Amino acid sequence: MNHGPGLRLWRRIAMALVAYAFLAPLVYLLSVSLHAEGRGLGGSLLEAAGDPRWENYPAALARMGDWGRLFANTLLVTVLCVAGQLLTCSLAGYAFARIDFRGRDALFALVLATMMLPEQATSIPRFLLFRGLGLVDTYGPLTLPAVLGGSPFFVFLFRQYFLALGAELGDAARIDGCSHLRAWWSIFLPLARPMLVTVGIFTFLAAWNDLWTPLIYLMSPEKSTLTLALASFNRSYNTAVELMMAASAVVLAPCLLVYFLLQRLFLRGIEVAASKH
Amino acid sequence: MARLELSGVSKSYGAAVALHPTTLSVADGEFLVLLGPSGCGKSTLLRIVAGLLDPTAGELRLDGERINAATPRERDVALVFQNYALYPHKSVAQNLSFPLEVQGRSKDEIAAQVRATAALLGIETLLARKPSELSGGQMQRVALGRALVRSPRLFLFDEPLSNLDAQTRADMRREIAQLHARHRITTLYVTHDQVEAMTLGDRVAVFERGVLQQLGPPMEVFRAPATTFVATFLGAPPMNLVPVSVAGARYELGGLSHAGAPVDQGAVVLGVRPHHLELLEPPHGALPVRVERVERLGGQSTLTLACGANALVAQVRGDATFAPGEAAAVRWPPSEVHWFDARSGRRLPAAP
Repeated sequence: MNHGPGLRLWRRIAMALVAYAFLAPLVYLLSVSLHAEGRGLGGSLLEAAGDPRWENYPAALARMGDWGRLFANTLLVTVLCVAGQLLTCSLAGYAFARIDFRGRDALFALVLATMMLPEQATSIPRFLLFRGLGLVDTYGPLTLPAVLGGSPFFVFLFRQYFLALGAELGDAARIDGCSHLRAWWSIFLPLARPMLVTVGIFTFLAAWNDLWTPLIYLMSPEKSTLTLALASFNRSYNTAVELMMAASAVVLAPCLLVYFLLQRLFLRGIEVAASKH
Repeated sequence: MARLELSGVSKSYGAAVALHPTTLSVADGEFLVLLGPSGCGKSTLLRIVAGLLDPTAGELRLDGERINAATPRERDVALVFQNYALYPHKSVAQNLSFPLEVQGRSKDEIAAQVRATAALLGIETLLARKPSELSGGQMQRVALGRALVRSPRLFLFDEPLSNLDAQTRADMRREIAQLHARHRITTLYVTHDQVEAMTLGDRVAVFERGVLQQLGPPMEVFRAPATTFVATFLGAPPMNLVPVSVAGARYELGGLSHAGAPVDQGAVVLGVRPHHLELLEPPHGALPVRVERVERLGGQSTLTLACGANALVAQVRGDATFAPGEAAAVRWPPSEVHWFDARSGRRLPAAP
């Protein structure tokens, strides 16, 4: 391709604008988190630079209560979701891609069809189901859906990825004596690393940032997650915005860390998902 | 030790028949080539034997034991794929050791086996590499090693040399022949390449449109093809086939009447191999033809001849001095003529 210098300049400007649009809220959040008490949401981005109130951070953590426990709870739920989602979605994707069983295509269509149901439509029957199972106020409702096959979209992604790897690889594994389970574990899963990272990051972010499900199912304060604690900063009167932002920044940090560490693999997975179908 | 017997094995997908009921047996240590164009059912048969595909009907026996329901693992067969199908995330050494790991062999045994196999195939220096760092020939060598490493009962090849360049293909062909001569593992080898079929097989099974056309030693199939399809598929350039009509045990060709037809009446096909055609200066009483095209290959030349409305191909010495447009005459030894039924394409016995 032959891009003139003019086009390149415009592209840079466009990318700078996009980057600004994504970065500005983050910068604003950090800026407000260092404001003096009672400044609210006003002030310029640079106001806090002159007089940063670092003490907002310990104060925010103190306000959250047992923040160590909150982190541990959230981490537990997130890790279970990520591990469950990766294993079950890839296993289901393998079955749909590689095993020839009666009614497979109809079943796969059904799985895809569930993607069209909005979460709000299923949340009441789902609540009744979990209440019937006696799992309200446990981590079951937060983690079981992921562990039991989770997202149909991720099943779809894994299926496409395994189909694109080609049938011969699976045949070779079968000839070498593998059961389907062994072929999935030893051959297909290691080859799906970009997809594992992508699905892993999506699941991590969704589980870490989920407010809706913990809000519905968790009651005991000692089981609370970070998002619930953040939500409790919102009071009818006297919301300490600077403390809330400081807490948000702390809660956000692991997400950014995970993303930046795995960024390259993440993008590869997205490319694969976009180009193979 | 493995003797394979198929009886009435067939495969269809709905109304489409990929393989008609086929019965054949492969003796212990035999090298059987399944030959035919793409879509003729040869790969289907191979995949059924491998256990990757269930037959629609029929029975498979390995050493007398029914294996229809056996998994590939229970059959203990090895398959070399056309596209190698090496595990891209594993090194050459790991590719070789994988089938043994799955079998649960001990670490020491695996290491020894991998070393021995690598030495046998001359790939010791490649053991640490990934498949993406290998050439096509090297990949196929590794694939061969992965199949060989666990000493399977049955060795299956699915067009293993099709993706290689001519030189590597010839080398690998020789190597496969040597491996088989040394280990005598019962082998089924699928190919559409007649050179591989002729040089490798103890016997050749020729398939067309899902039907086994002929089964026999390569030279026997070459000398006495059972159908017009086999006659044209084996041998390059293919056998000349000329439809002729017969009356009173004489047939007409090139405006002349000839004796020696296999039947008294009707339509038959006369077949004669290009290298049996002898070119003469006209007139000499033989069949008059016109030279249409001359292809000089060095050691020999291929001539396309017009004989009335029919085209004939002749293979002659490289220094033969015929030019396009020239008139000539051909003849062939009567003993080298093949006769086929015009309608069924089946071979007819020669005239008494």
